[in-house]
Amino acid sequence: MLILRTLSRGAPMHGFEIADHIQTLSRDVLRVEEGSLYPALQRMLLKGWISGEWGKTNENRRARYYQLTKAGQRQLNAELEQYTRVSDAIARILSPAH
Amino acid sequence: MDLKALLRHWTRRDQLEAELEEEFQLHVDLRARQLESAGSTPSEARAEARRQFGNRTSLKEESRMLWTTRWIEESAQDFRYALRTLQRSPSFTVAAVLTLALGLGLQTALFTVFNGTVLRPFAVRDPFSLFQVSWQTQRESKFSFTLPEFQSLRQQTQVFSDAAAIEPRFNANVDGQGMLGSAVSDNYFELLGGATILGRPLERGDHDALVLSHQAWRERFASDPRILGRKILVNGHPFEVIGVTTPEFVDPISFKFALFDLQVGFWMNVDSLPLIWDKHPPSVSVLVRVKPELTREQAQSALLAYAAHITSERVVTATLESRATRLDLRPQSIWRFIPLVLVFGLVLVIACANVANMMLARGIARQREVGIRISLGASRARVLRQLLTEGLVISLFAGALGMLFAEVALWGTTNALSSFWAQNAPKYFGSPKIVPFVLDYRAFIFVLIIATLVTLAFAWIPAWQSTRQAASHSIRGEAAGLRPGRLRDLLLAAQIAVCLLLLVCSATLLRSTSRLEGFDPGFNPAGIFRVQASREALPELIRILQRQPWIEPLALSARAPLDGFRALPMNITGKSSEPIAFNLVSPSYFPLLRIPLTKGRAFNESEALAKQPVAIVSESAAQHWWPSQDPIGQIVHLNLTNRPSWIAAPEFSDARVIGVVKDVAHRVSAGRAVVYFPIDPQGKQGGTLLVRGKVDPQTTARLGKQAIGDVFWKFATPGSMPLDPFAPVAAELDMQLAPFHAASAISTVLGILALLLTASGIFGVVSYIVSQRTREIGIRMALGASAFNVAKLVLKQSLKRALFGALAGIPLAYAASALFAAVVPVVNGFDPLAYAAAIGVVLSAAILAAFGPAQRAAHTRPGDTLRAD
Repeated sequence: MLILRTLSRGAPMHGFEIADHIQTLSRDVLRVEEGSLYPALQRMLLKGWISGEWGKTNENRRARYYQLTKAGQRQLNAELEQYTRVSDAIARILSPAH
Repeated sequence: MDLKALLRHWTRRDQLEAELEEEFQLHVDLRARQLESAGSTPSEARAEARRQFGNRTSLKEESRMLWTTRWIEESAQDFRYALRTLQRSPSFTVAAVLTLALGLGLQTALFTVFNGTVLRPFAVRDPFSLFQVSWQTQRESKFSFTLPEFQSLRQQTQVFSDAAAIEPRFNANVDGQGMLGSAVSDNYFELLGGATILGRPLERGDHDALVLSHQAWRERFASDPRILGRKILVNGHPFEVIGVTTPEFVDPISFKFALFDLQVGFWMNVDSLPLIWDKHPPSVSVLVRVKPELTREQAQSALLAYAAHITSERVVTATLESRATRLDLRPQSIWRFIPLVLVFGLVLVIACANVANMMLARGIARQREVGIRISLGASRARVLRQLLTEGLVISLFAGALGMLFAEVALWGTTNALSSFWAQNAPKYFGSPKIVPFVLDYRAFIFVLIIATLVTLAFAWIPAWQSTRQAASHSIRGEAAGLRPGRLRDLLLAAQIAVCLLLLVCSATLLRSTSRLEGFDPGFNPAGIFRVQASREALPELIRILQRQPWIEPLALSARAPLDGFRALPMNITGKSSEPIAFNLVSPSYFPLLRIPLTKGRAFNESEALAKQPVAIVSESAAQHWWPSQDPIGQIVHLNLTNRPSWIAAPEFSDARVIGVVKDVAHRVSAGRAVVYFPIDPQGKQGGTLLVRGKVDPQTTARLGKQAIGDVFWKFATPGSMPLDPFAPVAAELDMQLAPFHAASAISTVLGILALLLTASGIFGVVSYIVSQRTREIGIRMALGASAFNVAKLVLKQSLKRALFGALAGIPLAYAASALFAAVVPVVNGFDPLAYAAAIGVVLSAAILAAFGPAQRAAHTRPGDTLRAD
């Protein structure tokens, strides 16, 4: 979900950019083994949620740039909704009222 | 994940991996650079980046698992492993493949016959939309139509996209010899998509033109390249040859026997028929092509409505019979093949049992390997799958080899069929086209499927056996559960039982056939010829033949002697009515056939001409009706009601017996009670002419054909069977016996194959037992047993198993032959000699097969075996 959200920001990114982005935004709280990003990306590629294209970085190195597809957008919305629902439920349970 | 993506990933997997590697590398480099700019040294940064990234190999593997299913990867692995393992034990592999190939080849050959008759459509355009039209009223079944009826059918364009008329086959005199011809409407070739290799097909306006079939062009005109434009005489009228069809072109409505087609030799325009025939207006079969948007049922109901509309009688059903294949793919046609499939399948069963035994023996040797694999973490299912894959590889190789065997077997069958026709069917003219037996893609698919099934049959048990026990036992080399020895014996017993079954069947068939061969019809048919012509032709033919000096007095009979007589319900006063065979014969019938009169007298001319109500009975009939009285003068009553109109029968219902003749058989499997009535010797009642020459048969045939040739063809009847004008009567007997000959031949071949396979199975098992017990044998010999004793021991082993199997096989064989006898009445259900012979053969085979191992055992040197451990 996090990958999809990152990509939904618009510009195509390559693997390192995605990982860096998540790390930065989460203020270094979420630090996963960076390599596990790639199997996840492959999975999403196969499911058609993202599309990948080879391009060149600023330093002229070959990199695969990923972009969100329409199906991916739909999936992201669904997952966000799910997450919101769950976290709301948890919040309600944990709240001191009632 | 769909299959296409799967396939794409599979084929590009190396490239995909390289791409992943590139991405990983980029990521690590960027991370390293980041760390560097944060203050680490280049080498530290690189190390840290790599550490943060994680295990690249396992990540790559994880991705790879996404691209393919594990199942495909592992299967490929299994396949390669199986190939390597089989390569390591070549003798086993060769033996297993050969054994299975025999069984699979037989089944494939049988399937190809099925394919040729039922599955493969004719080589015409869009065969499955072609149908033959017919409808049934209360009174009759209408398969033939007049030309105006055909035209009206052709105009039903909302149902049929086109219709062609075919006068399907008639005997014609082409340049002096008989040939089958067909008269068709001008759109016939267009409808069927028939092409020509020379010239062009028939078109509208072709009146004095004909198209030759490829076979006729090849056989009658020696493939003359300048045949086009040549004028040939058909029934005396000149026709120009305008085309020759391609060899594959087949008329879907030709004569079909089980495995032959009697193809027409030429096609002409149906409108030109009056030129060569001046009698009946043509009655044609109608072949239609149903419009693609309609189903067969819809078209049939439309046809029913149309038929009801134009006939005054009540139409019961309308049928569109498919003309796409020789036999319609209906449950009945499949039923016909089932017995053959079962019988051929039995050989395959023996082969499977053989290979299963081989695999069992091998499995024990590989116990250790399996145990190690399991203890290293392989799941039982995985090991099982791998063992099954080994079996599958054997099956696939065997399947390929089996196809080769099938090809050879089919080639042999085709040759046998050709020579059979040449020998046994001289009464038909023209050479038939044997159904093409082609190993096409259907056979290939069949082989794949059956090979897979067979694998499951023979590989499952040994594989299951191997993976059953705990790892610790396996490594030690022990076996648990059902002792493989017991299983092996069971398989062997099953093999022997099935082999016995096949041998009993073939022995029974052989004996029945030889008994039938000695079938004595009661008269000698050699030298008698029949001339079967239309009623209009008879008087003239009789006139011509009576003038010939080399002929004995002619006889006429409603049914030819060995053709099988019809039956009518008859009775005498006081007894109930039952169907009795009868024939109408002229006075010279009995002398010509040399059938002696035992009582009374024969018909005389005046009785025959005046249709007097007299009768002559056969001895059996006389015995049956008047066992203690004189049959002469008795009255026989005939029940002529409900008599179908096409059966020639006497017109009186009470006949007085005037004579008794010796029994003759009119068919191979019929009774001998016959009643004879007089027939007009001048031919006005029709019938078949019987001729016996005073000279030898070959000369008689030649002179006969010469004498009647022209007249015969002038009066050729439409739609009749393509009989030789002067056909030997004895040929009829051969035709009736032919199926038995064929069945005996096939079952003998199967029996021999089964015996060979079983013998090799016994050999394998006994060899194995001997090799397992060398130590025991060594001890015995050291303790004083002679070589002879040891050999006897081994032979006894073999014999014991064979006896057990034979005992199991006897009830099986009994049940099977009871079934058999129910279907084919001539075969004796329980033939003790056949059983004895079969058992004897099996037991001797068992002893012979054990001979080799016994010798080997007898030659063991005790010292060697005791030292080896």
